[in-house]
Amino acid sequence: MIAWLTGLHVSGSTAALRFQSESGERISLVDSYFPYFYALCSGNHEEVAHIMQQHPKVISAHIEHKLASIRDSVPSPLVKITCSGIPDFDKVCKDMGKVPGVIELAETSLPHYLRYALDKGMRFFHLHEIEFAQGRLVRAVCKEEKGIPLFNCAALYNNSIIDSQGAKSDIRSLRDLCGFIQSNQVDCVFSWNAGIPKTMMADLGCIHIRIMDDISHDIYPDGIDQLSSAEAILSLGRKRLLRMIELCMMTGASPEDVLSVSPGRLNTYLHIKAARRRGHVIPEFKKEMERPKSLALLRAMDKGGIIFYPEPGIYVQVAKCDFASMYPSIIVSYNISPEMMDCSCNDFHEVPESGWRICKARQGVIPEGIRAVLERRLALKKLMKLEKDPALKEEYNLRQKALKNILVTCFGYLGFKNFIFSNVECKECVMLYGRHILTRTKEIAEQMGLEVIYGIVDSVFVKGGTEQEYQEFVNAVSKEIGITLEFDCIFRKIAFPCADDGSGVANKYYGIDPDKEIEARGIAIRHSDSPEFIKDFQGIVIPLLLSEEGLDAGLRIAESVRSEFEEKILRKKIPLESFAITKSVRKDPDDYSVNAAHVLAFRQMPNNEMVATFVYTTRGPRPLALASLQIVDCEKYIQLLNQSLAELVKGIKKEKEELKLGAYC
Amino acid sequence: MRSGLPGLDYLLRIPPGIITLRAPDPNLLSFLAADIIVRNHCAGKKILYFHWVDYHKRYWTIDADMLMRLAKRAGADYSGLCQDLHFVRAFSKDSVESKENWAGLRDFSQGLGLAVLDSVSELYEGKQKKVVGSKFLAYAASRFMRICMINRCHGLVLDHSSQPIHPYIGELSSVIIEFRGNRSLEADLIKHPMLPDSSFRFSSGLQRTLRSWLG
Repeated sequence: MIAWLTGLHVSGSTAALRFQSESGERISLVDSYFPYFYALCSGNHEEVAHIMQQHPKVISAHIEHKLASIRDSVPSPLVKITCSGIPDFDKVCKDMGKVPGVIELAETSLPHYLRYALDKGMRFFHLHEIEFAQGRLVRAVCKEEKGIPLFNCAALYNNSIIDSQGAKSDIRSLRDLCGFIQSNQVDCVFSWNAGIPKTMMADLGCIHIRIMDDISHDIYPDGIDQLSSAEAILSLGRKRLLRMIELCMMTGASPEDVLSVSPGRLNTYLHIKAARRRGHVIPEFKKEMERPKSLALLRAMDKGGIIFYPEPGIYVQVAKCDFASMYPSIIVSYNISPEMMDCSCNDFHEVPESGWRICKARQGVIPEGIRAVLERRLALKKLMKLEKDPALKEEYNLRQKALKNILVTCFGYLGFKNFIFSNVECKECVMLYGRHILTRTKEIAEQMGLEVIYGIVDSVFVKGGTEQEYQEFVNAVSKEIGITLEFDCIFRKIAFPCADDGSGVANKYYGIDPDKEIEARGIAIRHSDSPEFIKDFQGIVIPLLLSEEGLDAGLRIAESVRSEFEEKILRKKIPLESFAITKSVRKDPDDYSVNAAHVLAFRQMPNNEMVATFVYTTRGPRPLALASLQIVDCEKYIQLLNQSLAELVKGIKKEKEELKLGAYC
Repeated sequence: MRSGLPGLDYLLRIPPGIITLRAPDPNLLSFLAADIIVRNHCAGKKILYFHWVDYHKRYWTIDADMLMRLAKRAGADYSGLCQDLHFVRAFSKDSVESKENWAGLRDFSQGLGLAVLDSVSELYEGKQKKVVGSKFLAYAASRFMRICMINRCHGLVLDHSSQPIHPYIGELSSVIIEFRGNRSLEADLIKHPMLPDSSFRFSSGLQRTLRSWLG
């Protein structure tokens, strides 16, 4: 039978597997599972194995040859100890530590389900050819990744539950929930923050997506502001389910783990999979530390991404080009992995500015893991572009975004001290390559008669060319560097305002793209904590400042728009909600040493979401629910309005007096 | 060992041993450490700086600019200082316990003139950084002391935790000076081989100097 693996739980000495066939049939099977770990010994492996064989909870202890550390390329002997079941596992590990000659243990903290799945070559949400008899799994062969199982999903909201088939019920107790799941064959329950015991869901073979937790681990969460009904939860839950499935497929982590760990942690699963495939034993901890370095070397090596600061002003026909997944691509292209550093063979990459050598001859563990995600994401993006069906397009988009979580964290995770394969020097290599690539990109642009007016880490803004010339430029860079430089768009006009001291600023610009949409960074229209009316104001003013009529004309109209908004504020013609400012409260309000406005408001009306939505009033900051239009602090909001105009016009024209900045600031 | 602050120099005039400086303000400790580093560099000593905070905070918590300014003031060659001052970063609790790491450091530290152990409180246990049961800290501190003993050099321990001093660090230290409040040079001498426990205040001139440096 061909079926997807949808669940795997391991307890005692049994693995409980859940499959779903292509026809929708759910199959629950069991298999034997005997946990094991490895012992690294100082000398007499036979004697250690012999001692452990006497242990009453040990099934077998024998010598195997494995790569004991990430840097090893030749297998060394280790003692593999297999226990009678999970309950005895910790006891056996503890006893093993006392055996003379044992230096350290490995793979004692590897999740049991992961060990089982890796050993059996099984992968979540992949199709498997399975053979079974009397409820026991006889054989399972992972076939391919093809489609996803059709899940019956249900959403829990305010003591009621609905499922995708339209069934509805009131839920007053866990027993009611159990009954609903069983009678309706529910595979997945979505809720905002319901406390459903994990063991109960595991026994039912059902996944619980607690959306509040899930989105807290997602760098790119979408659509979380419309959860006022079970239908809304069901719709959002389906999107979260796609993300979960994609991450399970790529990392090998179980649905329960994907829903509860950070994107960084998912990197560990990914690399464990790659390391296991190569015969490495997974170490318990990160032990290797960075070599001592002189301050001179640290200053030279430990640099951030490069920035070419823009000259403040307005520019026309500017092309924005981005390197696609630059840091992950660098890791893969230059084979950056701890065991590849300090290469002594003749085939190596020399890291710019450092002279460090990275082996080219064999692929490292980290690039192997990242490559799979990178290729998968590129394939999904390609599918997304070609797909005409909006629903499928959305699905591909959600899945590629899920993988982006891994890619954006993989670089930082390389330097994380508790990641078992981390190495700060690898992280520094990535950074040095990134700096070198952007510098080289600028040189190529200049050779082609173009000018890079702004560059930051992995993107460049280029002026002085036609669309065709820009296309030739990205092709030339992609060909030479070996990492795709994507031509994003041409801004008809783009403005780079300046800092207070008149200098150019990184990550602060606004422009109009070919679809006449505003693209902005670092200004109020982009800030999540700006009042709505300020965003509306900048939304009107930006096209005026960048209009064909010129800056002077745009400024004149912008000033009149500002006056209109000022008038509206004074006459209280703006809805109260548009004055509201939303900010997160990141710690206990009593721990703040400075009484910021949002903290003061939060203290008046605390909430579990730790978010303060407040309005400046003549009586100080107040929660939106306790404020009214009559007491809105007009002076404060006029000041914010003026600042929002000032930040747009600052430095975009040299004659600052002409802009009358003083009037706005 | 010299700090350049006469009052402190008097206290530090002891045979090689561990000197623990405690202050609630990490900037004050960084300043004192930087000053001591520059003066020891001028005396031609090799310096090893153990930086145990999380890698993400990086070496920037050591103010390289301040080091440069202090080096200039002392007439020292800053580029020479950059070559002679070595950092060991981002010790995790697991790497602290790894014997290979300490063996490597012991080899590296031959001819060492001063060892600085920054952010020792990072190895205090738990979220509250409690001093009880800090076996990692005890292990690391003993290895640190061994490096100092082998090289017969001073070890400077910086501790900015608000907790009482770890008993093991207290036991290992020859001198413990606890600065009170932020950016002041009022301090308590908790332990010293020659002097009784006492409270003291540095001169107002020094206080002014310190304020001008720390802003």
